Amino acid sequence: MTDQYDEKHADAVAAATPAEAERVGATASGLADGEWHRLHRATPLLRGGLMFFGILGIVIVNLRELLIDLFIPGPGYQGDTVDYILEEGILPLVLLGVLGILVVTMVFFYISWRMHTFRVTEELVEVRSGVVFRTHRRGRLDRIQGINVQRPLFPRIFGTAKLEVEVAGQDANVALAFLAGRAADELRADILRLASGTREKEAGATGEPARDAEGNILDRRVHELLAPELDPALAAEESVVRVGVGRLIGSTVLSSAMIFLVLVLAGAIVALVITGEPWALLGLIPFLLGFGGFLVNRVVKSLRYSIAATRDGVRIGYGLLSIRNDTLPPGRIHSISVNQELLWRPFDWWTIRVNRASRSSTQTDGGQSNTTVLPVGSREDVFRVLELLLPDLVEADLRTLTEHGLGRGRDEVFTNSPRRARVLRWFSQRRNGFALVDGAVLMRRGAIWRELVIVPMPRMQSVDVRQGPLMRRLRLAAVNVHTVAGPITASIGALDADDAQRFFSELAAASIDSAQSDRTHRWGESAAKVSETPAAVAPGAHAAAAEAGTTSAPAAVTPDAAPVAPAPTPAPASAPTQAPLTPAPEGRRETE
Amino acid sequence: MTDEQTPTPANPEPLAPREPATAPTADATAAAPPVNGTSDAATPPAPVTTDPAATTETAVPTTPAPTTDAPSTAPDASPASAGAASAGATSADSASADSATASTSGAPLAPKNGIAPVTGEWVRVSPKYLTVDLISTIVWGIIMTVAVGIPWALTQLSGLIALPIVMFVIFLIATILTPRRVRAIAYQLRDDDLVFRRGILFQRFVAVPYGRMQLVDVTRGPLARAVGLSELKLVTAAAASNIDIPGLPAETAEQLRDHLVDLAESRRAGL
Repeated sequence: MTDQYDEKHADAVAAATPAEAERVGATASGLADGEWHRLHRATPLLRGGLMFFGILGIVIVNLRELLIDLFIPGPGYQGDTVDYILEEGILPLVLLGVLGILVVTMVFFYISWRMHTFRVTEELVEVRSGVVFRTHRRGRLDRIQGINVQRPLFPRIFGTAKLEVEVAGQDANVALAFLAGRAADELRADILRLASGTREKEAGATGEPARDAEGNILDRRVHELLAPELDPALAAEESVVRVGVGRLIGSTVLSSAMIFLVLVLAGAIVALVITGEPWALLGLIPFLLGFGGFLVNRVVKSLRYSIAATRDGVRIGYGLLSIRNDTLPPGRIHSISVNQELLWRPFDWWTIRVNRASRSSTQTDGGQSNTTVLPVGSREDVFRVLELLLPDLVEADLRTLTEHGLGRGRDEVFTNSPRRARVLRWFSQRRNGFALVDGAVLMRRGAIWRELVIVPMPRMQSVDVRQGPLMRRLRLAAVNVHTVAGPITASIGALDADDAQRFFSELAAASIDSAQSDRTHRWGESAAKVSETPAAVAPGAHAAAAEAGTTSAPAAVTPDAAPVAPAPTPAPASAPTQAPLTPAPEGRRETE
Repeated sequence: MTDEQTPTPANPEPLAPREPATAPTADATAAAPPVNGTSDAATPPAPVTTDPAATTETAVPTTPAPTTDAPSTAPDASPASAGAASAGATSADSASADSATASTSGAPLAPKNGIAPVTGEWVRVSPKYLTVDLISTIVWGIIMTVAVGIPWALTQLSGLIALPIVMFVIFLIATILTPRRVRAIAYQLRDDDLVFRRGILFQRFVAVPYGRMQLVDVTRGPLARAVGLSELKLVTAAAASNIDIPGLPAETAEQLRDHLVDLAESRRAGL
């Protein structure tokens, strides 16, 4: 069993040429080589060991007298403990006792550290942990839904980070807590490479270049604390979307949560004025504290927000003191919702949320779950983020579509509800509508709280159409596109019955086609295959480039391209794609 | 608004063993004979939309009138005729009396002006499921009425008797509507997906591609077991696409499950 990652090894690897790096476990971090490894030595402390000491301290302070009476018989001493010890000359005894407790704790921590191991092979990542109750958790690499690296404040001071491999399901993530900071980043790159199916020799530059390793430990810590959250070498600047502090605060102030808070306050003040009793306000204080804390948290944890396109998908990073970044490989986003609060309309701000297959019931340290991709952004930001999230829709069309989708009244691109739907949709009848394009379904809903829902076609699970008695009377129907569970429900009601039935049939057919041709779960493979086909004939090459341009995320067509390609610029001529994700001309097109 | 439909060539495998044509032919619906060729499965009849009985759509809105029993005259082996019949029969037909023995052949019950996004031959669930559904509705009705009546029994306040009475009325209505509801449950195995329909007042059609099926479950409650039926549940990655086919004969359910599992395996698509 090899020992934990250590800095010397990292230095050796960082200095090695790529060829040598291949030899050394074929990974930059040296951790993804199929052997069992241990975590950072400070892990038991960081995982709550400190709590233990804190609690112990509190207990001792409060029960000091009792404990002393218990252990040192004799007449109760009324003075200070330390004086007592010194007078009675039992100092060595007490020190020995304290030392004993410390030793026992250390031993326990050491055992718990030794028993916690992980392994990353070509196909899965496993974690074994537990002293008394052993657990063994395993996640398949080709089924990962995302990877995130978190650096809460306290572990950050130690220079460690937590790496979590997200797997489909509720609370099914495989967590490696805590690893050395740099090891976590490099291991993340390795896991993504393995999950993408890219063969080693195409790997080229690793996703995250190693942070400089010189300087003593203090320098390194300070550097890590002050480093920008998103390494500039990782993603080209023009593909990065950021959220400014002013906008963040403004959007929170104008959000419906804040409106609710203000209303409650107003109601309490009115009650106060009417009844003259101050108790109403007093009762509000816990609510204010809690709610206010929630809102403040929302702002603070979204500071330094950035969304960027990397070779392995979309990378979302945020946080000031505790930072976190998520990487979403292509094809892991199950539906997207762009919506706008009422008071954001004058500023044209929107927020983007997604449905993902992995859900955690515990909120991340941010108060917002991992389903919010863009907390607030202008319309231009929305376009850019959607381009990152939906790279296989042709870029120009996506922008136009989104323009139409975020617009106000009736629209020629979207099939809208008929006038008689006004009974069911008082305000949004004109805006309510759907559009079916190559590779995605779009739905527009709502007039006061405007929403645009986009479901990529390969991620659609099933579809249903329904009609109740009232709708039947009005000759309307509702269509519901099923995706994995999450905050977004892709359903649209009050459609003309014929439109709805046609929509249903088209969706059923289109989803089958796209499901069969979807290859996003091995995005590196498709990119590699494309780059291998010799660019012999010009049209052939053109077609290959075109198809590659429309493959999943910014897959580099040539291996030595910059590690990042912003949302693929579509081939100048035809965008082919019946099925948008067909990776390579022939050969790979398996029809099942 | 009539639903005009062209019947499509029938699916190669209608998996529900239909009851041998127990045709009470007496049931002579005006509709059926002109429509069915009674004949070959080979040729789908020309757009049968001009089913003279189709005009009866304007007729009695509430009688369930299973025109569906008409094709029972034709040998059940001819799917096309059944398909044809279903084409004309999606709207209620008043001209027929209720048949004494309902069969699973024929079109599921649908309201007039309803939606019918899927053409083709529907396979209905077994009519024995009616027994199961009725009994369970009645039992639930009794339990709920008693439960809701407890406050009245304890306090003897005259106003509280409204609660059990309302509950009783609700369950009475549900029981009366049960036969119609059972006749409206049907499924269809198409080339690449499974379509399921349910409901008359609240209609719902679901299409699930084979490659998306994650789990197929066959369950049997005590009542269902007593009459030889099972329930088939399909699970996909989305919780909302719950397809629950009750009332399948046990044999059929097993076959259907195996068939679906094979199809799902061969068309396996990612998440």
